Amino acid sequence: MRIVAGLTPPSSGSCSVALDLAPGRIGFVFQDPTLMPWSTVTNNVLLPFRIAGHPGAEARERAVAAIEAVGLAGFQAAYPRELSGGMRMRVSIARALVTDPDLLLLDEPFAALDEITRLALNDDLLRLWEEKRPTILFVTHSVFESVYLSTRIAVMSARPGRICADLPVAVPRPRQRVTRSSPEYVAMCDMVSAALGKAMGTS
Amino acid sequence: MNRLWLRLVAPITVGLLFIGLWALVVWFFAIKPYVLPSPAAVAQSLWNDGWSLLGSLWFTLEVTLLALAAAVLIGGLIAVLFSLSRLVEISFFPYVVILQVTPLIAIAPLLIIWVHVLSAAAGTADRPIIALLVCAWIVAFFPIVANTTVGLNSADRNLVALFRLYGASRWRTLWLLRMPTALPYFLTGVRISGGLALIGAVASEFVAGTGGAETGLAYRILEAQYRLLTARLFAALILLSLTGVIIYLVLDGLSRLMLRRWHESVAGEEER
Repeated sequence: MRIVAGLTPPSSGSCSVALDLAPGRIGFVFQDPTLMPWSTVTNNVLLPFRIAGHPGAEARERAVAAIEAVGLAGFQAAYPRELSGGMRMRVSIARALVTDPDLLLLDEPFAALDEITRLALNDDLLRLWEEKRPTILFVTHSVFESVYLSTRIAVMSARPGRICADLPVAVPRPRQRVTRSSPEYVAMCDMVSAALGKAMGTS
Repeated sequence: MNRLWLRLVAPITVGLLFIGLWALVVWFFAIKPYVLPSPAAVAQSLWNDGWSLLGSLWFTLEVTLLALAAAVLIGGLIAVLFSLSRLVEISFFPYVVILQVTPLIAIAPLLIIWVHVLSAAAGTADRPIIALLVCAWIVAFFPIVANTTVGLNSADRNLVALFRLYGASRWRTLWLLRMPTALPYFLTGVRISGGLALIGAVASEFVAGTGGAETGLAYRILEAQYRLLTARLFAALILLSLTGVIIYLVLDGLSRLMLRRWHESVAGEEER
């Protein structure tokens, strides 16, 4: 993921991204919220604009919209320490969305959250994706999460990290809570689990 | 509320008990006033010499505060330079340490000679205060440099990556990320330096031993020692300690004010 973002050079081979990757065209969400504790929610979300220069009225409007989109209206002036883990993650997502990126990189963003918060954020992420349809590259250890969210799943092995399977996801949209008990979903989960087991060499 | 009350009353009680014991010991063993004056004699001296001592305190305070201000400015600047270039840091840091570990008392006479020579060359009046200032500054600037350098290099690595992703310049990263990260470290350094600046001012004044118009509290202590005016010595000492406490309280309050919204050390206090 760091290679895709251009933060780390590949050790061998090459990486090409079929998108304009100017600053602000990529959004990155880490496993931790990675917020600045000394800044309010608004200022954290404004960070991409603050880095580029002094944020104007338009930038502020977009920040307000992004904060509302992740369901944090009313918390603009709060500091990260005053928020729960799930809310901090929402701020982090709002910050990644605020520049309206073409590519969104999410590195196990919900791994540290409890199940309820995680499911809620899964639904929010799907809704945000439906609105703007950016390309999202999402790393997760959860088979269920991957099937629920994706249009395509690449299964990776560990050490060396190789892509072992590339599976299209045929589960119909819109995906909702009931999707999780549909036969297509369950079948796809089985398939991905099998591919993952093969990649890990455990079955 | 109850705890705040206890926080005030408990230490005051200890202080009063100590003063009582002190008075009792002086009275019981009939200790000579030039060895250990009674608390009453010290209070008397504070009352009689208070104004003249305050005048001297002002001089010492001036040296202390100017040295602290210089330490904050120059110390902060050195730390920023260190954080911008690893080469600068590894080249100069050993010398900063040498400056810090060399006993101040050993540098002071040298500085006094230089200031004397320089002011003679410039044709101005001899200003020993400059030598005192430089001495106090040398003592005070190290904690600020050391702390702030660590702080500037402690930025969250994922945030650093994010700044790179958004194409942040080095200055932008310094201003928006490294400096705020370093703020609590820097403020801790300033609090330590406040006390050290006072110690530096007093110690260098002992060495310089300036008489005449510019006389600080340290010189008054020496003078009281020569004349065996022990009560006055105690009075000067009390003023010095009080000054140190006030400097600490002011710096501590300032630091709390700056960190109260976000830093766990201050903002999380009520929950502890």
